Amino acid sequence: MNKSAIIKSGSLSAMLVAMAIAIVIPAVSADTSTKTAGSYYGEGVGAGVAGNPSGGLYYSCAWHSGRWLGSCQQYSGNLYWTFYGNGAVIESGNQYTTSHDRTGGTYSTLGASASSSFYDPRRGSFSWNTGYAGLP
Amino acid sequence: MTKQVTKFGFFTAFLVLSVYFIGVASADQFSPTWLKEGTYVKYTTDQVGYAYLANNSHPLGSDTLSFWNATFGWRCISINDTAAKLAVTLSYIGKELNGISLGNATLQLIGEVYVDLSTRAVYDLNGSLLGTTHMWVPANPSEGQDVVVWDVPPDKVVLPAKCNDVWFLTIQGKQDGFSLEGTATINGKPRNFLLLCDQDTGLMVDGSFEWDPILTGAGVNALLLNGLVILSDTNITLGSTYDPTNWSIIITFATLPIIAFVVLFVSFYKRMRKRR
Repeated sequence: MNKSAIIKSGSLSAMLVAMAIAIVIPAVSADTSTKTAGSYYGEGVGAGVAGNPSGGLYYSCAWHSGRWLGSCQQYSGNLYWTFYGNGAVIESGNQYTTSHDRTGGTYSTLGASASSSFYDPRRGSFSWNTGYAGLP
Repeated sequence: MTKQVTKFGFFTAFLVLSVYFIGVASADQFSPTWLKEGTYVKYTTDQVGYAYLANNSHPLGSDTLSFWNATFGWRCISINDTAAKLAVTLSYIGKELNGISLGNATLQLIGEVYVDLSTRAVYDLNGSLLGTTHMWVPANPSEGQDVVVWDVPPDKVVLPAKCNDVWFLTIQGKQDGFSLEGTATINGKPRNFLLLCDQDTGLMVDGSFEWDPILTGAGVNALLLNGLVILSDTNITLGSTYDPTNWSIIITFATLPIIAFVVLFVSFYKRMRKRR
């Protein structure tokens, strides 16, 4: 592993931790799960879900999706996210942004996914997908 | 009388040929010429993934599956002029189903669907319409050209193709491509489309494989994959490889001196003949 790869990997991990903290802070007692995907040049996408568990349900639920460019040349398009509750889509959308969140509701299962395509002259067009459906 | 018969014959032939060529052109535009019996496509991801599987006996209507090393795809098992029958497969190392360990067993989900070749409408074996597949779309769109990605009344989704500077590294090398992106409401629910497709075949080579009617045919309502999903195996020839060289400009500039030379030569030759 070369030096730049280590730096990229480190920055990726830092972002992941920051994302996890952002989800945990609003609900300290919550179960949380995050997942990230990437990367070739420090770019990637991430998604996470959180909720306060009680009696087989999750209360005060939170969903997160995000992306970062790293040293990749450009995003090809928008950030795409889909948030799931009880195995069904509750929100799906896209925007030229780096993150999108949602809070609220009570569900038995939670899931989130994020996707983004990137372009770099070294690799052409490619996309990263992150999916998480880990609660419970 | 004979002249009239001949004229009528020519007119009829013209009409028949016109209809034939229009038909052939339309068929070429919408039907995938590369789809034959035995054609297959496999996509792979080596990270942990999740799926919501249709299960009417579950209180939520679906099971939650987690897995490793998923390979999914389809194979054409029969085809006629209008429709193809596809076998759909999702192979994986099972992690958990509804929170219960699957003990890393090697497992597989299979299903079969019919696909209308001109509309890409997908039907289950009972003939129920599942939707429009976007595992492939019409090939060779121009920049900004509208491409239909869903057409089940009352919902019709059309997205503009982005072709400029879109190319991919695939198992068959660099390929020209195009992307289709957008969110649309289908059956009252918002749905995302993020497709990176091969230019020459329209086959989806990258993007979000989260949902598609073909996957629904195998009982997969949603496929939440992580990392890079790669087109790992196919017997479809993706077509010409990506070449950023602008051959039209090169040919134009290469042809101009030749034309100039021919014009000069002809005029010179004519003058010489006049003098003689």
